[in-house]
Amino acid sequence: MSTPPKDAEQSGDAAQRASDPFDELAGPTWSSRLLIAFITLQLIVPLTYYLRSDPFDERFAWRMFSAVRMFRCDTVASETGDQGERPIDMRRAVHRAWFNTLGRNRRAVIHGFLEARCELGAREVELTNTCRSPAGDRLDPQVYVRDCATGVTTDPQHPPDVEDALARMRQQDEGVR
Amino acid sequence: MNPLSARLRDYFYGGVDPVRPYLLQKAVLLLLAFDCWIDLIPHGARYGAGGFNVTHFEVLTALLPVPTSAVYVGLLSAVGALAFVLVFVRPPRMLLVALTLGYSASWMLSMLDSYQHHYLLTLLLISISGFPRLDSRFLGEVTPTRWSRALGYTALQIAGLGIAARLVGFDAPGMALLEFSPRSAWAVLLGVLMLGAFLIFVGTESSDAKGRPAKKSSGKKSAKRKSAEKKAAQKGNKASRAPSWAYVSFVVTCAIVYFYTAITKTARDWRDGHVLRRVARGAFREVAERWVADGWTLDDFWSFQAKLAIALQLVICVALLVAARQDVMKNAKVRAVIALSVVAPLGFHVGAEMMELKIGWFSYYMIIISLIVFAPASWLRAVAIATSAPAHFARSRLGGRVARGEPAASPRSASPTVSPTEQLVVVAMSLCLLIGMGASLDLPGAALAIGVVAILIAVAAYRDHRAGSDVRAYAVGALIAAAALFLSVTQTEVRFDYYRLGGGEYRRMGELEIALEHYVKANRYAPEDRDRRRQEAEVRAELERRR
Repeated sequence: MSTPPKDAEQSGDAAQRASDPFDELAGPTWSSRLLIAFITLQLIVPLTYYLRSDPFDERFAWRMFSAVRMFRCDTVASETGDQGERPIDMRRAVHRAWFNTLGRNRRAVIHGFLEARCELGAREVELTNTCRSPAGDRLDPQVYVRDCATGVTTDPQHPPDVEDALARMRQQDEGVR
Repeated sequence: MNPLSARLRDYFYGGVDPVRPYLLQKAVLLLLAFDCWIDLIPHGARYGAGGFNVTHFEVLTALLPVPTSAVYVGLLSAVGALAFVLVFVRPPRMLLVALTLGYSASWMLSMLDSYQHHYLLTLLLISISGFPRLDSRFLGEVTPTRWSRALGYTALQIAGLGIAARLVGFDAPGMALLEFSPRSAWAVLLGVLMLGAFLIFVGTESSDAKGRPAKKSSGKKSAKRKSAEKKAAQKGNKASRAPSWAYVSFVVTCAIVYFYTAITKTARDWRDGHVLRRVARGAFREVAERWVADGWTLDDFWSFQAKLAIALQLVICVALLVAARQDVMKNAKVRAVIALSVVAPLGFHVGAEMMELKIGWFSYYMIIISLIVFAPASWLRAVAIATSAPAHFARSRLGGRVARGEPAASPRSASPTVSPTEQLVVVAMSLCLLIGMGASLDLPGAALAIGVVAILIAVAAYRDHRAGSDVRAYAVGALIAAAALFLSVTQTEVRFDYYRLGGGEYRRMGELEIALEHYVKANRYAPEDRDRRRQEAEVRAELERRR
């Protein structure tokens, strides 16, 4: 069997390397910095949940099926316009999926809803969530108010004490036992 | 380089058997395509209803108009089509980035979609965009045995005849046997089709990853060969390793998710089972009853299950971090333990499905990902050979140019049967068919969005063509994507659910004319006994009263 000339062999190797899909992105160059940023971001973002004042916004925190999701709220809203205060028919104002999200105390959605009602001509809009803990206890109403003239939204003064509500859930289960 | 940097470098850049990123990419993209078409599109009608929307990020809310159902459904139809086509080609990074952006936009556009696994998928797609670009050629030449090939072709013919008979509505003898549920015949036929493809290539041999042909097996392995194989295994088969940073980041992303979900569950209310007993439904409650009959108390049962879930998630997290490196590990026993640890994610996600948690297709993604990350590479190669059978068949039988001047697999394949220009024409025609299929679905926005994706695919195919690659895979991908899209939408309740849910929402909001349009279409696509004729009549009467 004849041996190929050394030059041909080398150029063959070079061609093989050039066409080798495994050579692509093989080294820790620009990719390593991106990689570190990507992984670090993933480690940091979920931690921000524990620093937020809003216990109900569990997005990006990988808190699937946490107890917070099990709070159930009744949502009512009213607005003050030229003809005084009147309740908002929530069934007509937004569709069911948004209604459910409002009932989960998602602040961004509540703020958006209040703003949208202001744009329809109201002077002041108020949304109240009356929530029950997983144990069935009624919590303090969560009242969100937007002054349409100033554009300032006031969030609930006392967000529900989730830990306290969960402690009552445990007590309830222990009572059943 | 300090020791930590060196370790991290080894961890992320140590290499991986190319079969893992290859299969992972294809499996996730395939599942994503069907997930978009079957599970997500039905929720599209509520987008834009009432003119209200809040996106996941304030900047998007400020910049973007309220997304309509056409935007959402179009986006998902197109993302599904693109993901499906990418399964069949050596995916260009440009298209993977477009896919990631498109899919991410679908959930970022509105807080209506707040499922956590949707943004997990975005993170996974970002990693997938960095995977090595592979097609089935890294598996080498594949040669089927005569018997398996004969059986395989027979199965393919039976499946082909069955599918043809169903498409034309011919009541073939024996077809009734398949009708144990409304869509079971399609599932059985698809199963036979896949079995046929598998049989054709089962018992195959392949060359090594660098394309060197494997020697014919002669029953007993020679001592020399055994020793060579052992050496190769000990070296972790360095020659066949692909760059691993993107694959490892994919696996680490999954591990981070399991870690945080486990940490969340360590709070007392979860740990003691108080939450689990409230969220669990379905078969899991029956399991609880059986355990109680065996002498457990309900408290102990839920507490045990909760602690088990936390333990499993922590085990999965650690196992994933270790498994990411398994292809460079020398110790066979450690690799065996890693393979066995697949039991943890399987157990966890099967349990989650039994609880009927309504988490979409999340469990299926994680089960498939776990199988690919934990299984021995040799098993995965067998699966890859079987699933890439049609590609090998097309390459060896149809001939044509081979990508990037690689040596032709056989003299037969060296002679081009289709010129490069003809290949581009075929790709363009297939993409037109895909757009046409999108237009025929009677779903808003689908045709336009698929048209945009088709242009992107055409640009990518042209770039590959300019680089000297055979681009017929794009045509094959587009044709099969068109068929899959058609079957996914017409043979399921996607359209019925889309229009039914839209009808309900618009009716509640008092938009009766739009509600009526939705109910009319819902009834057009309604399965037996589930029509919305009563609702349609009620809306008509209400409209009449208003006039």
